Amino acid sequence: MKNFYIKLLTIIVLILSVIISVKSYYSYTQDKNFQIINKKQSLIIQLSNGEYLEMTSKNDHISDGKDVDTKPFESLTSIQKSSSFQNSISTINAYSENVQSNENSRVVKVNPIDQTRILVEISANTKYTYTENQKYNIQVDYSNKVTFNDNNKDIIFEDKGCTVTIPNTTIEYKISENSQSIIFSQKYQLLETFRFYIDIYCK
Amino acid sequence: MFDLIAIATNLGLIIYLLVNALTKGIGAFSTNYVFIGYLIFTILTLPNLLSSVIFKAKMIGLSSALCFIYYPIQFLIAWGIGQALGVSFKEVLPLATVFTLVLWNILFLIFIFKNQKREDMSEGVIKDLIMGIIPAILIVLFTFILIRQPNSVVALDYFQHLTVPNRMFLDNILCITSNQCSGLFLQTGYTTFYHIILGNITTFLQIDPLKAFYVLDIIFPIIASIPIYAIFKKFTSSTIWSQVGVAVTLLIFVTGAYEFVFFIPQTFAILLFLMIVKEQRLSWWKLALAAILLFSTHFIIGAFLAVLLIGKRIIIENIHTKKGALSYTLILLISCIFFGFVNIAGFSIEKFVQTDTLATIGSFTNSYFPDNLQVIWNVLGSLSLIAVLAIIIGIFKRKFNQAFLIPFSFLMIGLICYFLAPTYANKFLLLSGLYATILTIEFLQSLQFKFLMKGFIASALIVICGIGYFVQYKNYLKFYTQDNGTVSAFVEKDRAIIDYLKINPPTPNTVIISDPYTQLMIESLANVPTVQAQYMQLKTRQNLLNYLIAPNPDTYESLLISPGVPKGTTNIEFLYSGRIFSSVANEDKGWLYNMYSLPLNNANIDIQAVSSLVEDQKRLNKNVYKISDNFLLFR
Repeated sequence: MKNFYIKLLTIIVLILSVIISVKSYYSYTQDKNFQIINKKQSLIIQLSNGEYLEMTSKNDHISDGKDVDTKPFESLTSIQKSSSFQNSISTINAYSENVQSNENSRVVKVNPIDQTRILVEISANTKYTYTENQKYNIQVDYSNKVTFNDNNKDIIFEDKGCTVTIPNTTIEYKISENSQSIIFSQKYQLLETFRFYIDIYCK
Repeated sequence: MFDLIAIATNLGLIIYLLVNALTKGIGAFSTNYVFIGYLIFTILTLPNLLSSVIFKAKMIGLSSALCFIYYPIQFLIAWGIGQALGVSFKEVLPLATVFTLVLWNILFLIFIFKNQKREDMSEGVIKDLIMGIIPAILIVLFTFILIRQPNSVVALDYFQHLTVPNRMFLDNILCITSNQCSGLFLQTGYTTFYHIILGNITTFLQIDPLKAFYVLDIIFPIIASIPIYAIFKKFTSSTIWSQVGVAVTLLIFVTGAYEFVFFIPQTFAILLFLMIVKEQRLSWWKLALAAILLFSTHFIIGAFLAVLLIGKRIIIENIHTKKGALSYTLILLISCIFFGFVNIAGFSIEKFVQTDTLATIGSFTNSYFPDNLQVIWNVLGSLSLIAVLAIIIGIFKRKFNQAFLIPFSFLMIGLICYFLAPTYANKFLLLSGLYATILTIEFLQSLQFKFLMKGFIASALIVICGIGYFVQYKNYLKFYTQDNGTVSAFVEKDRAIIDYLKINPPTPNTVIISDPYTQLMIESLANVPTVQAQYMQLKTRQNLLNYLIAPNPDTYESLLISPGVPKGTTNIEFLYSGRIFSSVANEDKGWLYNMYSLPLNNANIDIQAVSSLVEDQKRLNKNVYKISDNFLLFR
């Protein structure tokens, strides 16, 4: 009888072990290309090559080609982030960050579509007086210096076995001087929205 | 039948190699995978045949481990012949390796035919060998189809150790320890026992080392499966449970120990240990021989394994009662828990005792709580749940059982050393997979499941460990992933400088200085002296960078007197690599602060960026030679 219970316990532990292993494999395949880290003052897309992409609000800037750029979110008065707990109960897989700097606010939503594609939506609500050639700029920063390639509106770069592509970009952009950032620009509006995909594939 | 299979396979291979020699010439063997595989297999199994045929002892046991001494003896004889006849190693050592191949075949035939006369013993032995290696072959297929890229070399250790047989062979030097031959070893950690075997596999017959390392990773787990199978067979007396044991053991990837993944000094020591530990109650003089053998292979891991053997002889083999066993297991368990808490409280040997070593390396070598527990979980995965169950039930079992006591003791001692955390404490998790598997298999077997359930359990164990192995191995390979997606320590762009330096070596008393990674590649594959290769000291790295950024007599002088520049050096040649170029251009200074921060990728050099260096080198009468887009040599 005692042996029966030990056998039963063994089989339960074994089944549990298989489930944990399969789950760890599933999370490995999910994390194979990227992981999203939504902590502290930034929302980071961590790549499996050890590098990361970041779209921090502190780098947003409004330019008009003449004066010094204005940074609407240089100092933040409030930061709200979606928690993983929130994600799990609402069964969505999107991460959001809502920051405020006095009367300006900015929401970034990062939504992994599948293991290789992420949808990024950044909405900034700012209140500045309009001037000529005024543009709102956001930055997608990469943690390493890389060579960016242009291919039919796709922005592509490769680093340490990972290929990052921002496909079908209709938004005006330029590459920063230090070869680490893509700066997207749109004509300034009070409510600005940037929407683009990031494809990440790591070997 | 198994005799016939073995003879037919060997004959088929010999015929294939003979046909190849006739059609492509003997020179083609240096890149022929079949020949390389055959060479490795014969070299690593000759001691088993020597033990069985010459010494009439067990094929796997202390005697077979001791028979590995054949290689140092062979080397000394070659050296003696060379001294007597006035010929160099280059002429004698290839003959020694060929002799080994011939000897293996002779012993193999004697083993088969002599045993035919006495109750066909060889049939049983070869059947056991084949049964043992079948799961290993399946795991090797899994690894090399789904995880590894063709021709990949994924251990820098191979390059480091290769410098020793290269130096002995090409420069005609006899070295007792690896440091005597090569400046690539920070500490005196090994004799050249392992390096002589590596020389037989690569250098002495001038085998392509990259191919040899790749094939070695295929053959080594298969060779290791033989003693593992024997150990399981001893504990379980069951073929199927032993095969499951082999499969599960090989599917545990211990980062840092790499027991059955790479053939390096520590894993060689483990291979010898597995042969020895199978023996029941060794006499004291045999134990002394075993300890000397293990110690000569690896001064730390070998000594640790020797202590385990001595502990087994003094303590475990003298426990004969259930009460004694219970007290002993509880003492070990409590000690392990105690040292676990000591570690959590912040104590570690590397932090408090080995501060000098840490200063040299530039960072801690171990992870700390809670990451160190995560490491254990990553290694054993959910197998640890079943192993814990097996341990709990094993401790409170009514019957006394040596099959429980030995692996449990070794597992606990390994964990205690891991928690004490001297530098590279991960290495002490070595064989934790084997011990956990023995505990698990022995426990599962004791439950006497029916056939179908056995099948389910075996499959479940293989799935559990297979997944962990896949994920662990893939994570390990991240370091070796190059920009173009190739996963290998060897960067194809480095071939140009290696080929150049092989044909145009530097003059005597000249060292080549470059970034640490490039130094490792050229020292191991082109046999040119460098400034401690990948172990270039942090101070020297800084001085090198200072000179490259501001080339002038002062910074040059500082570099010349930097630590690690070999004494008697009269000339330094700069090898400006794409790695240095990108480090300067991108201000990537990680390699200055940590010895293990080694950039793998090699960028194209913009020659305009080194104009001041070219000017300063002219002052020293050095011209710049563009070897490729990735290398400029100042000579």
